[in-house]
Amino acid sequence: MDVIQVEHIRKRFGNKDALADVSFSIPKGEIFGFLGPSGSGKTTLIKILTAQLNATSGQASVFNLPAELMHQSAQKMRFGILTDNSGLYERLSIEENLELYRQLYDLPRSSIDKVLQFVNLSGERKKKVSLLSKGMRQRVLLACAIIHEPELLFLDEPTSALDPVNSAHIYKGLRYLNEKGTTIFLTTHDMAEADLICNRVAILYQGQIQTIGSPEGT
Amino acid sequence: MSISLKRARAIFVKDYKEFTRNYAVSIMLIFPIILALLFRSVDPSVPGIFAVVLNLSFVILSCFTQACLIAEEKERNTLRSLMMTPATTMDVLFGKSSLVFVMSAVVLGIVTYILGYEPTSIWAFVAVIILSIILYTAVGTICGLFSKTVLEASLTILPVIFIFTGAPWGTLLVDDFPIFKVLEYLPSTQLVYFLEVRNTGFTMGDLFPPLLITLAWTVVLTIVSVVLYQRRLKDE
Repeated sequence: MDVIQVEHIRKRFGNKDALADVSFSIPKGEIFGFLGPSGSGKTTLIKILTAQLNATSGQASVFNLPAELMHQSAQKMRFGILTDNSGLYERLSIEENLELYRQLYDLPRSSIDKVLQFVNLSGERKKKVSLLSKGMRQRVLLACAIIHEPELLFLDEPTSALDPVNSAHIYKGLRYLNEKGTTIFLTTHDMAEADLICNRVAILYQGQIQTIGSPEGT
Repeated sequence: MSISLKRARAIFVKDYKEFTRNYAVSIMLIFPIILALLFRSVDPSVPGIFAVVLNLSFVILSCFTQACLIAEEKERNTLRSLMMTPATTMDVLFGKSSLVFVMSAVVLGIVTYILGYEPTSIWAFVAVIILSIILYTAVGTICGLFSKTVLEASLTILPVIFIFTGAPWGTLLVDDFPIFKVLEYLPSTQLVYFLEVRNTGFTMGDLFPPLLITLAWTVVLTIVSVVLYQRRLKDE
């Protein structure tokens, strides 16, 4: 079963095509990498798939539903998202930030301990977000995105602010999530990262998919 | 449009924690009280004094505070993160507005006590105060949604302060400038008219026009703030 299906998606901003006739599908349980330089349309596609943007033409579906329906609460319970547009409450501690998400997703208290262990921040839970390093913030953002153990996870360059040690920890965690059944849609401009973690990758350039396949073959 | 009280409460609690640690905004709570203490010695029979303090308090407490809270969420990208959770438009707006509502109600209660104002009809007075808080909170939401940063929100609010608190004074010039008659329909002017209804010999017909005009403003501005928020869900 495909979790994401994209058919001939086109997105036009003014007189420029951010995406031009993009088609692909992602089966359940896959880690799919979307590779491309900055401005190639990766974030635009995530925004279309999560109902933050409407496509100019073409069809996109998530969980076999039109992507435009992803603004509904019931659908938002099913996916998690981490983009460079994600933010944290600076005056609150890591735990207080996660407490908000726990309540919004109506989860048990144990979910905070579980996700903090996952991102290796159990010892820092009382620390104010304003005092955190960029790498730690990124891990807290990831914790917010996965606290509800989503069926589908959108990650927009999740390790761009992290050092190799923290990146490796995140990769390990993502593989663990994937083994538990989470489908992961990841954008990156780092081929090595895609090679390390993705089952399949697509290379996007100037709004068009240039090639799609296994990391070894592309 | 559904609302989950559990989610709205979670947002309220989060906002309360943030607010108590944000001294730049939380200090706003004391300004209406300072104003009330300053005007306490003015003869209470002077019409308009209480309305001036109330109108300024609405702008400072409900409007400015809400605009800053919303703008800060936008500036730090937390509003977008909130929008990507199961919280609906109504959950977020109700949760965020509840904090401002409670704070405004408490501080305005203290202001009324300090100034020793005795309302013509307590029920009508409570109704007009509640409507005004909702109305100014909606204006604050609109200003916050139009601003990208807290600084921008502070500037966006200036015309609101000027128009809403200045409107009752502007009506004094109606004889010379008939166009200023439109200012009579602003909620701040209606509040002045409402508070000027005398304790003795009033009829409900005296109280209803300002109440109904304020209600109309509240409904329209609340709808505008909800529609604008929903538009901000999209990046178009």
